[in-house]
This record gives sequence, C-alpha cells and structure tokens, in this order.
Amino acid sequence: MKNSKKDKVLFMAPTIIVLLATTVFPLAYSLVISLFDWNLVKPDTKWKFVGLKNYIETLKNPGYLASLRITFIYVIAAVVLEVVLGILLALLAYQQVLGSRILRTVVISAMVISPVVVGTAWRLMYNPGYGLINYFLDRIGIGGYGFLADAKTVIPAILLADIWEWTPLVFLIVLSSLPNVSVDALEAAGIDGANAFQRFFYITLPSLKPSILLAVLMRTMDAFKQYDLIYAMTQGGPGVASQNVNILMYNTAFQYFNVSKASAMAVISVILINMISSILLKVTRREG
Amino acid sequence: MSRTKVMSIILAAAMACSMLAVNVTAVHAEEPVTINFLCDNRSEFETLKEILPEFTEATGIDVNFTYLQETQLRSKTGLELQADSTDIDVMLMDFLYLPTYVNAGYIEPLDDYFAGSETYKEEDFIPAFIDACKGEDGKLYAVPLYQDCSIMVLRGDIFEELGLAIPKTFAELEEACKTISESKDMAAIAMRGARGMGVCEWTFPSFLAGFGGSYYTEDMKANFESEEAINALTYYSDLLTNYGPAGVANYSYTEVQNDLMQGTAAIMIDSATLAVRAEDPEASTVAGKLAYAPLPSDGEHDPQPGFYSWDLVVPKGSANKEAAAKLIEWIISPDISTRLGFSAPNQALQGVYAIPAYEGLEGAYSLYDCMEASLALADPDFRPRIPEELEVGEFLSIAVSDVLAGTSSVEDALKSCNEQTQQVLDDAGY
Repeated sequence: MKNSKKDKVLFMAPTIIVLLATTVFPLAYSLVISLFDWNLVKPDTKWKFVGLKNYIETLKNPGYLASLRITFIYVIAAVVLEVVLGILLALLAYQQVLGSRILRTVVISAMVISPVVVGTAWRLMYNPGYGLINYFLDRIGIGGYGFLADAKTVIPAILLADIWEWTPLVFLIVLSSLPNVSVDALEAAGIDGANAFQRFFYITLPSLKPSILLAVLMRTMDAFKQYDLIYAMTQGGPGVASQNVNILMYNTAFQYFNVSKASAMAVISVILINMISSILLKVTRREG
Repeated sequence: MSRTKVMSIILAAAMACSMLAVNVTAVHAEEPVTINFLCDNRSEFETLKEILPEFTEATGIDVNFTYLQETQLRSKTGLELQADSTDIDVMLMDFLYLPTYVNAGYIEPLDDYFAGSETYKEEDFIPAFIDACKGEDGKLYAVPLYQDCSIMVLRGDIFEELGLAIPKTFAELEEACKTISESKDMAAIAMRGARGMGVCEWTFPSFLAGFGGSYYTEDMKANFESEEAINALTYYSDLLTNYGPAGVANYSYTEVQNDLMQGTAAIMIDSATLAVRAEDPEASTVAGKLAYAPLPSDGEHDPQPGFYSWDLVVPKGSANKEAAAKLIEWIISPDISTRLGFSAPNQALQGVYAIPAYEGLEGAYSLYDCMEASLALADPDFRPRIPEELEVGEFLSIAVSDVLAGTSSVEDALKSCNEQTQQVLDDAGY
C-alpha cells in the first residue's frame, strides 16, 4: 500500500506536536527571555529588552566562569573514572567467575535509585559526627572529617557518589557488547603467544570501541547536566567549591528570580552540550 | 422472562438511576469549598491536618495541603505569585519576601476579611512582627505564625560543672568555649556554616551587627569590607574553626540542632524555636539540662538577635479568598495556634515556650523570658528587606562558608562579597 504524503504527516503529527510543546517551545521561549531583563519579583522588568547584555555579563562573570571550570573538571573526572571502572567490572562479570551474577544485580541496583536519594544517603554517610564513612575511618584511627565541608575534598566526595551511581550504566553497555568480541581472534592471538594485556588492548578494546564511545557520549551529557546529586549533598558549597553551572543557574532562576540571566546561562549550556556531543557523535560514527 | 417483568426491571433501573442522579446533584450542591494550602513540611502542619476536621465541620471549607521543603517553598511561592496562579489559596511565606511581593501587587490585603474578627487581634502579636506584615500603605497583608529570634542555648550542667558563667560578651563566649574544649571531648559551640541565604546568613548577621557592622552604608553602598565586618567574620570563623564541630562549613540548622540534642555540642546559637524539640526527652539526650540566655555582643554595641517569621498570606490570584482568610483566622486563633505549637500570637508563645530556667546557673533565663528579652531587641531589617537581599544574602553566606572551609581569607571573601553586592545594587539603580 502506498502511503500518501498526507498520511505521513498525520502519523508524525503527534510526535511533532509533543516535541514542539516540550522541547522546541521552551527552548525558543528561553532564547527570547534571555534577551530581556526579566526578574520575577519586579513585574515592570518583564519586557525590558536588553539584547545580548545577559550573555555578555554571564561570560564576563568570574562566578560563572568558576562554575564552568568546576563543571568541566567534574565531567572529565566522572566520565573517565566511570568508563574505566565500568569496563573493568564488565570484563569481570563476563568471566562468569564466582559471584558474577550477584555482582550484576548489586551493581545495577545503584542506578535505579533517584539521585536525590543517593545524594541524601551519601551526605549522611559523610557526616563527620555520625556518618558511616567516618565511623569506619574512626575505627582505624583517622577520626571524623568533614569531606563535604572542605573545598579540597568536596568534589572528589561528590564524584564518588556519582561514580557509585553511574558506573553501572557503562558496565551494562559494555557487558552487552562483550559477546561481539571474536573468540576466534582471541584464541588465535593466544596461540601466537599474545599475553592477556596484548589480547585486551589489541582485540577486546578495539571491538568494544563503539559501545565505549556510546557510554562516553551518554555519560558526558548526563554529567554536564548534573544538578540533583550536588544539590542534595552540598547545594554548591562550601562557599562555591562545588557550584557547577546548573546550581548557579538554578539559584539565579529560582532563588534570585532573575529568569532572563538564568535563560542566558541555559542557552550557553545548550550550545556547549551540543558542541561536545557533536564532536563525540562524529567520532562515534567514524569508529562505528 | 415475561415482557411485563422485563419492563418492570427496566423501569426500576431507570428510577434507581434517576434517584442516584438527584442524589449526586444534591451532594454536589452541598459540596464544601475546597481550598489549597501551600506550606512547608514541619510537624506543626501535619498536626494541622489532623485537627482540620474541626474547621471543616464549622465552616464547610475543606483544605488540600501541599508540603514542600523550605528552599523549594520559597521558589514555588515566587513562581506561583508571579504567574497569578489560581491554584493556591493560602501560602506560608518567609517574611523577608513579603515586602517585595506586596510591592509587586501579588498579595491580597486581609483587613476587610478580618474586620470584626473575634480571633484576630493586632495586640495579640509582638508589634515588630505584626508591623512586618503591613505594606507601605498600612494595610495588613499577612499574619505571622512564628515570632522567632536567635538565642544562646547552653548546656547548664556542663557550665555548672566547669564553674562557668553565662557569657555576655563575645570575649567571654570565646573564653567559655576554650575552657569547654580543654575539659570536654565535644564541640564547645555549634552554629551554621553552610552557604545559603537564611542558612549561615541567618546566624552571622547577629555577629556582624554585634561588632557594629552593617550590610550597607547610609547611602546604600555595600559595606562588607568595613573593619567591623572583618572583625565579625574573623571572630565567627575562629570560634567555629577552633571550638566548633568538624565539617562546620556544611552545617545548616539541622546539624546544629542535632549536635545539641545528641550532646555533642555544649553551646548552640540559633533559632529559639529549635529549643523546644531539644527539651523533648523522647527525641533529645539533653532535655532538662539546657539553659537559655540572650546573645552576647562586643560590649560596645547592643546584641542583635536574629528576627524571623513565617507568615500566612492569600495570593491575589486565589479564587477562594474569603475561605482562605477564614482558614488563616482559624489557625491564628490563640487556642488553635497553641495546640499546633506555633509561636504567634502571644498566647501561643507563652503556652508553647513555657520552659523553666535551668536551676543552678546564675542568670539563666526561662525559654519564654529569654525569647521575650531577645524579641524586644530583634529588628526585622537586621537583614535589610530589599528585593536584592535574595542575592546579597547568598553572597554573604558564600563568604562565610568560604572562610570556614579554608578556601579564602576573611579579607578576600568579604572583598568578593562586597564587589558582587555593589554590582547588584548598581544594576538595581540604588
């Protein structure tokens, strides 16, 4: 049966309408209000056109640049560590060693918990007085330490919670691709005298490249958007030591009610995420 | 089945349906008004829900509750009000935001609704608190549920054991902390250190004012680089770093209260309303051991207790303003607010906070007397109530938290805070 153009439009219409309403319209609206000076608690500012002022001020604001730096450090550290750990765990689970089934279940369960719950649980565990982590440190004589209250340790402490929650995603993606690694090639390399490391770096890893790149892409975009975990653990503190772009954006919009400035930050973030994901997608397609 | 039988069944069914329809219409006609109440998730509002049938029975008004955490509540109220939403009929509001929302025309005045009221009486409230609910036009836009201030809560038993006197100056407070630190395996003092407007920015301003500092100069310029501000933050951070708990840069009121109740801190400077729970033997290990005293100062300036209130308001967009005002009138009646455990009106303050003075420590106040003495000094503008306070408060809290975390020196942190504040003031056209 030949589909008419009208039918195609009709069938695609629901998706297009939903996309327009939930993605395109909010984005376009953000873009428009970012050109104004709208503060929710000052109704007379709503349609005061200021052009690119909010963008220029944002990009010149040392607080924004510092939060952008924190965002990039966080994304790079989270993605690298999660990918490395995810691959190692997947290889371990694929070996069918004792307990690998339990490992799969335990590892995956972390991923299904809400980030706010994860953040709150880790915040309690880090508490210097009654937290579980400090309890064990205390048993070995190190004593209570305020990991979330020290600017030097706060990012690693949050990263640990992020890694705990999101490494399973990488683990699952890599685990699902491991059956695609050629057993014949591995056996042949073994007969030719290649050791385990050589077999991993020259056969297994190249075979896993597309799935690893997919995991990198997904985790990069997610880590860039990270908000709830940090908010639940530190709200960006101490000071601004864990304030990434999203925390700053939230405060600007919903605490200071400066929605135009927050929209400018959001548009800049959209551009940055698009640039990064385009690069990663290009690499993925080339490798795939 | 005969034709007559079938017809009678159909007829009976039709009659039953029509009776049901009449009944449904009747129920609908008598259906009580339902209003929506947006509040935070403290236990007093859970109790309110439990006793609400009394209100519904008397007025025919039913209430849907939406509970949020404090921070989310502040955001939600702003968003609902500016959208002129009809969804919310009564809101719990941080008093600091009230002048901004009143000036923006978002709040309904309550005078007409309360005219001739038997339960609302202006003289039942502390003047500073009820005045803070009025607009520049003199109209009443809100009613306080809390008349709160900051006080000093001390472990009477430890002070007695160590022979310490209640500190009246900052120097005496530091000396007492030093003695406790040297004698006991506990934090001598717990106060807020976490960033956030109204978090450490609720405790620190008392020290800022106690050292003679202020947010702004008389001509509305940022004043955080003054010598007084530097002295205040140096003192605050030294006190908490040397004698406070580990991780204090992440302490909100929850951790402060918890340390006091678990017996791991000997002094707490925070909200008076936190003390009531610490006196509950089921929840606290220090019930009956606490002594109360007003805040100290540097000896030259008056102590400046924190001033805080949560108010009830009716948004301009509400579709049920009269019913909403009736609910507020009911909640703030002396009997109900005392049963719920609020600190306003004054009858509730006297009833709920009647905790006797610790015996054995000279100069210790009862909780009510301590609050009365502190509330008399409390100023609603100790954190100046301008729309820009939402940002300025955050900047100041970041400076305090930065210094406590060791990220910044006092001078650098206050310099950064001052620059950002001045920028906000300039942008706002002060």
